[in-house]
Amino acid sequence: MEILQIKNLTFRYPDAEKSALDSISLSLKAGEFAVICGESGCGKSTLLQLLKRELSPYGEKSGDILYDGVSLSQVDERAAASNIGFVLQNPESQIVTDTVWHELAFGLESLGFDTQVIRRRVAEMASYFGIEEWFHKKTTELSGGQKQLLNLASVMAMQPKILLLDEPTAQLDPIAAMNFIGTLQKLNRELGLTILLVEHRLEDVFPIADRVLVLEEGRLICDDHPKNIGTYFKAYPSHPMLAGLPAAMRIFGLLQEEGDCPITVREGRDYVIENYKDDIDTVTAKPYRHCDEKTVELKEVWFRYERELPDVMKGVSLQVYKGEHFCMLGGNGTGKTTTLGVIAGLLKAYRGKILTKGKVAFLPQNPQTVFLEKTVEEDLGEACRIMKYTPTESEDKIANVVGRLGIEHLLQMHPYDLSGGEQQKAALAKILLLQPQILLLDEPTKGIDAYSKRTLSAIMKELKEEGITIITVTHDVEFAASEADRCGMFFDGELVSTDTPTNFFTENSFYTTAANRISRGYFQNAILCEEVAELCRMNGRKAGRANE
Amino acid sequence: MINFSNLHPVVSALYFVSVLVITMFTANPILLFVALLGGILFYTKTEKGIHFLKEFRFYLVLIVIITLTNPLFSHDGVTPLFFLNGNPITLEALLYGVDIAIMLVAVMYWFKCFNKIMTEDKLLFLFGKISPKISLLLSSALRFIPLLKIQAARIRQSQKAMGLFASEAWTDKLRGSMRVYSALITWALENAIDTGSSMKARGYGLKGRSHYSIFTFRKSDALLMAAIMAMDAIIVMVMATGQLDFSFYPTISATTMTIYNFLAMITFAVLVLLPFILEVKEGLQWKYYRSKI
Repeated sequence: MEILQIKNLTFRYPDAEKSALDSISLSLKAGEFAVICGESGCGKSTLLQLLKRELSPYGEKSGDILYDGVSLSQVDERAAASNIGFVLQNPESQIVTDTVWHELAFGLESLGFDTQVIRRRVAEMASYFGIEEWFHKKTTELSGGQKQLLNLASVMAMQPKILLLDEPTAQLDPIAAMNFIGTLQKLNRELGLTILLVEHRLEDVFPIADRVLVLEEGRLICDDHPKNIGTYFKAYPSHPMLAGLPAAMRIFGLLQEEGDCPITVREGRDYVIENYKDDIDTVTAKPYRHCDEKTVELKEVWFRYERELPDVMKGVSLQVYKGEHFCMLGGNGTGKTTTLGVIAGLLKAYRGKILTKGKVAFLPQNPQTVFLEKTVEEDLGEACRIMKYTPTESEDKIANVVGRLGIEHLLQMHPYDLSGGEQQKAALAKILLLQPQILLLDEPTKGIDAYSKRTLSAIMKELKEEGITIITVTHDVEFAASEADRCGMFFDGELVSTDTPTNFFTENSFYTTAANRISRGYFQNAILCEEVAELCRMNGRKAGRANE
Repeated sequence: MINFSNLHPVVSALYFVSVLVITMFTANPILLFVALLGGILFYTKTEKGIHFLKEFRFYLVLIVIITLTNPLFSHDGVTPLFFLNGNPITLEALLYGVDIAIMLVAVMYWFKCFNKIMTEDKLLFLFGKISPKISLLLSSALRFIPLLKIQAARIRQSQKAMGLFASEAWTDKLRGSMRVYSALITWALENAIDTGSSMKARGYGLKGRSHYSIFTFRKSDALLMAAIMAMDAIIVMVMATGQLDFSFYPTISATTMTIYNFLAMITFAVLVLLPFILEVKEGLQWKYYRSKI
């Protein structure tokens, strides 16, 4: 039974030249789990909003959307509100009330249920989602993951038939994100809930999705089971979407394979071991060379926020060399971000030495906080004012940095109107105008898609070549594996291990890249998809395993 | 077993209003002293140990100061004790000072108990009884204020890292703060759009919105509410007859003890000691249960 049918849907925003959505047709069966993916600006959020009547953007619309066989505009108000659930990206801003229990009840109050019904449903939701422990808490005291789970639970309390989610995990750390996606899977499996999810963290989502819809410039270019997606992209080896696919699929794609694509780590592992020989099992790792000049040095640094509070940094020692990219990894609350703050001079260590050579600039986790002005251009001007550049100097410098980051088209826009990736770039532009020698980045890949991630990597490479030292705090192991010169693991306020990515990740067995988990034990030190594919290619196929 | 902080908000509100109104509208030193005693005893149950003692010391000093201040400014009364700068310091004014001091400190203690017991969500619930809209507005405001504080700190830190607020000059600080403030407002508006979407998505604006609360009105609440109302009625009726009146000027005059005002005083004592009695009783019950386990 089709719960949702989209017929030839075309949508254009007012004053836009091009349609945001171009004759999209698709139908969703009850109980299906579908993932929409595509680059930012491909129209995926617009599509999702059009499916929720209350959030439909204004513009020219043609075609029809049928919910349960009835045109969406004809659906009864109450049914429209409760049957179609919607979860937005930002966990914080979609919370309405001050306490967890009130938030859970909010939608039910809107529907006018009496206290008895609300009490039962709230109790049910709190138990199902494991909220009992923080049921009486204030919503502002919750972690990001808890906030997003609360948003999901308070939508689910209204008992929707279909759930729409717009990049719900973009602002979460990997563990919270996996937990959230696990909950979605549970809802789908146990309750038969229809789910339509916009997502760019595909590694966790592909294994549980029934269908993948790929949008490109407002058109639906692919609608198939995840295992067939790899074949679509064979024709476009450099498609930006490829970088976001699960590691098994990327290896499969890089090897130009045919047939059913492996999706999970286990499938990828079976696939490699069954099909390829392992005569050569080590890649020649890029030798680690560093400049002799230390630009950042921490000697036994201790820090705590307040006298009564426990230590956050417990004797951290660290040397970073000129032109090097150092990645700090580790769980939440282990002191990574605090260490950045100490290096940036925002926080004062109470013991130990911090030596920095050259100007330090800090790009915070939330790039929005960098902007103060009404347009990106004015904000860049502001940075020039801080540096006391002459007007002609400013113009040159701005033109230079803008060209390098490719943000000419964003200059006249309000910083808050930019997408996550664009904001990141604009913020980086502002920071680079300060002419730093040392660049500190806090979670630069959070909330940006695979394509923006790639641009960011390219920019970072260039900066390194100019001799700028980069220190990144990240949860993103794939990013660290491909970009870092050295990685360090934070645990309990200490830097417990520091090594080159190849050694670092091959010695870890859990905290490592998916490509490494796929090839672990079979190949010695492959940590990137490219490396696994390269080894496969060098070894060749096992006898009787010809490429069909 | 009734725990005072677990009572239904309507009952606790009625209780606090009763005690506070009676305390504030009487000058009868016996009633005021009982009120002070009840307030302090109740407060010992919510605030313990050294902190309580420190506060208590402060209030003792406060009582002394108020007591001594009144006769300096008020020279009514017929029994001069001595003359200061040619002005009489009278016994009546001194005693009236004690009376006012006790009343003020009693009210303060009761408000402190009020703050401990009537938490935000209970107050919101009461507002909701009057107007659900105001209650929702307050609820979202209560969420928003800490959020704004956090974001302001984030913006300030990012800007500090970039060299704003670099100098110690107050002009620089002011200019920096203004700009952080304006960025904060933009952020808040931007945030509000999302909140609005989320409200609309969850059916806000549909007709017939109901108002949910996690508080249940139990039988014990009903009983206690009836008891409080009955006690209020007795005290107010006796007060209305003027039998509890007490005046200090020009001479100290009290009505003679009758069975009625004696009854009212006992009733008031029961009323103000009620939370303390309930808490002590509960404590004993716990001990008893534990010894049985």
